[in-house]
Amino acid sequence: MFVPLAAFVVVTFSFGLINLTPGDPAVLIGGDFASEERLTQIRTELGLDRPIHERYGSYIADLVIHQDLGTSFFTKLPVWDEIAQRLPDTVELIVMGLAVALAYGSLLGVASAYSRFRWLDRLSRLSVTVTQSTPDFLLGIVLIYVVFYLLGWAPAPLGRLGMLEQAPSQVTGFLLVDTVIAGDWRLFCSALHHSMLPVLTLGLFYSSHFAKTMRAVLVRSLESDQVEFARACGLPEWRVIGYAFRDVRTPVITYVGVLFAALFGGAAIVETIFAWGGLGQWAIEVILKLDIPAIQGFILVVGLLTLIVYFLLDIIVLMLDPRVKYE
Amino acid sequence: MMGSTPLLSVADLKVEFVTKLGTVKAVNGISFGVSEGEIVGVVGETGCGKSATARATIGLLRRPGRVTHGTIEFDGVEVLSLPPRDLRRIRGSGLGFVPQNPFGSLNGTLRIERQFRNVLRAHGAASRAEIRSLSIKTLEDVGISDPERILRGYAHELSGGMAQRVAIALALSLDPKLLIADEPTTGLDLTIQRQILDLLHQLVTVRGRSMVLVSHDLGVVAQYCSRVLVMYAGVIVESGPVRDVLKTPAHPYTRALLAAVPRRGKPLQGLRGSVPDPINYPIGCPFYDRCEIRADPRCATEAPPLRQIGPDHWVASFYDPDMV
Amino acid sequence: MSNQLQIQKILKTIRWNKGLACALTLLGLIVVSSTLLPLPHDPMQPNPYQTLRPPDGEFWFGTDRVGFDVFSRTIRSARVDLPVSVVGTLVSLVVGVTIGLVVSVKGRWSERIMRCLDMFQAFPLLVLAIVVVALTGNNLRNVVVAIALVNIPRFIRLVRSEALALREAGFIEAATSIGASRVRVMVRHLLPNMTGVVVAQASLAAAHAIIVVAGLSFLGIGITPPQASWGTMIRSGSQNIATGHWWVAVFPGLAVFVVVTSFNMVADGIYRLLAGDDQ
Repeated sequence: MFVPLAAFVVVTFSFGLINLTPGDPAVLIGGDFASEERLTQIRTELGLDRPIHERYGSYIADLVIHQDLGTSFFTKLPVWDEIAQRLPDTVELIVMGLAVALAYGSLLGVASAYSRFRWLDRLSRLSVTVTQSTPDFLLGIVLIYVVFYLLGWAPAPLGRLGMLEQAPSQVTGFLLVDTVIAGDWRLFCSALHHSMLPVLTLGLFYSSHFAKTMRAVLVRSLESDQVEFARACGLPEWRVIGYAFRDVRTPVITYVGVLFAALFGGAAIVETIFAWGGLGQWAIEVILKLDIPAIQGFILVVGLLTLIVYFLLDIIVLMLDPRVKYE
Repeated sequence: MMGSTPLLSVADLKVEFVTKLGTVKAVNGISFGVSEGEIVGVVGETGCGKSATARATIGLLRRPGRVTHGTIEFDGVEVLSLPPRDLRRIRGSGLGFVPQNPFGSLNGTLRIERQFRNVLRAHGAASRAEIRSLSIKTLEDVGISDPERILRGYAHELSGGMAQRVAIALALSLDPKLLIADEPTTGLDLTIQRQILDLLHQLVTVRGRSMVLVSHDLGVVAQYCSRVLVMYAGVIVESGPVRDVLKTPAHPYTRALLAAVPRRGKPLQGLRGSVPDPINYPIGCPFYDRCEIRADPRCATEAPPLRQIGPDHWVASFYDPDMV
Repeated sequence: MSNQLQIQKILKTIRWNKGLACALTLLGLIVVSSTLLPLPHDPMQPNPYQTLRPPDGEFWFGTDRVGFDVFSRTIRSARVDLPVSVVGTLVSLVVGVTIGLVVSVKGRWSERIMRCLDMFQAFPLLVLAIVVVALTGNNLRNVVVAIALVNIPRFIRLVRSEALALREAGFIEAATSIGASRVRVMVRHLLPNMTGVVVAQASLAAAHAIIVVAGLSFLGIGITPPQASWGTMIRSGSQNIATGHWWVAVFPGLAVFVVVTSFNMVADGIYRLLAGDDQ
């Protein structure tokens, strides 16, 4: 239906973005002083010498038939492998980060809605303002300074594990899961410890939106006719609050989905600071190096992943809210 | 006055709303009672305080409203000083509330049967079978012919009239002694309004329960209530049995309201002026500005107290129709 | 309304909206100080004998690894960060509003364009911005272009939804029924009624733009040292933070924070003004 069409558009768009933007990639890669010979070599390797429709055709063919995303220009490894290796790390970061953002944001939002203009409300709104106006990389840096340097509670931001630690054998590709499967408790703890700051950075940064949404919806919800009638029928207060919360589900879940998709690439800066080794970090590297096939593959994969996430989101929202009808 | 102690007795109730523009005195010291088996209508224009009165009784005043004075005694218990847990126990089982807007009041994401279950469970019902049969019976009582189907569905699948019936069913499921209905038919089609009011009337009288029916429509009150309280600017200006008040209205406001009812052959008669500013009430009778009669020099400077002019017929006015 | 009442109303608005006044003053201060005020030390001239000094009487914000005065450089960076973000936002505003108005006319085309927009938003926009700049050349102008591109969708959405809502109100129908051309309706009727929300959204977009610009220059994209910008300062500062020299990164970060908060407060103030008008 809609999804295959969108997928097709994503593929075409990622192809178009790279291949149709003005500027000669060969020059950008080779540099200003590259010889003509070198430029031609680059062009051939990138396939830039072939006419565009031919490139497009073979790209689609490779993609659909062989699931081949091309080869990285600089590492000569298949792009698919590069992505597949790093994707699980990013997913772990996103899941943990969003969990923290949701938890902290909800706490703030609920406290704010309940106390309304008293000091608790002011405090949570202060937190929201601070986290909203600080770029995520700055937050990460400040956290490194305070928690690592000053307090020593977190390890150095050098990656997911300590310098001398070995990753467990790959079963799922998710580090935390693999350490549990391998039964290596110490490694698991170390991985968790190393994820403390990056997760906290993402969590704090994205908590503001959840806090604001929660507050806005809850305040309205607590004043609603529904809550009033529930109270009038003598329902216990906790159930009444449960009723109020039902309004909150859809916006929160929607935003979780949107953020999830956005963070595939959006977590890049945080990943870079903490040497997380995830997809975004790699993406920035290849973009800066102008590794054309890799960039193309990245945009394509992220675009498709986003589509999948949105699709799942639609289904979940549909299931949760009986009032939403699928048109 | 009925001999037995009234089921509900409100004494000198004052309700305020603190807003950015000032403190709105919504209810300015009213006292009344509701006995068993009575249907009392509270009628008045928008903003006269009738809603606030009804809601204060069940403890559902909207922010930023607060009760600042007075007592509300229901079934021997002083409602305003009840701890929340006891108040919640009375709600539903002693005091029932029929909401104005059924779609806004029914939970949109839970099935109807779940909502019944929540209410009944909250008041002690235990077994599923018990809950189910009670839900079905209550739905039948409100005139729903296929309760099983309704129970399985959601609120948004119902029509306006059906939704209000379900809300009434929920309110009545625990057989409360006193029903509070705050404009229960706003937003419904005229024919449906009739049906709902008939239904409420029938349910209350058959079971021998009481009801406080708040409405801006004098005709509704005339038809369904046994006693009426006319409110204006936060005070009761006239009260008494419906027949007496409508046949021989004593307060100029009541007279004007009756005269304003459209009648064939007569030109439309309205009231001049508008309601006084609820933040700054003028001294003297609150109706003074709009009053055509102004019988007494005291009207401008003194707020007339309630005085009795008939068996159970009280009026707050210096005007005496018999003296004319 | 009498003059006295009008003055009272204005004073009340200003008092209510202390945040708005405060924010605007702050922004003004920053603009002025970055362009006109003389700075205590030359922001482009490092002093190699005074590297990594903590804040003191001479170097108010301390010095960095190369010897730059952090204070002067922070203020000077505003000359880069602010115009880039603001210009980018303005460009996206103009383009986005225009497209939004055009698209607000109900029709097959408008539905299709909105669908395309939905799909466009499927991509991580920050990364897109990076790609755009990387592919078109690592210079300032392309950063502006990237910012503009990234922000266009939000204006299109806003204008479209406002226009659709306004069209429901009767006066648009009235205007068209007396023969006003579509363009005229858009410009003279729809647009003026949207200025409030559009300006507020622009402020929010500017706030976001500053963060994006800082992020880009942090990564070394678009703005490179020795050009002074908050992002590059934070980047060089990040290398010092693990050794405890916090001031190099924190002060430019604070500058970003202050500016972004100011823009957010401006938007907030405008929204409150709009809500107040309805009272």
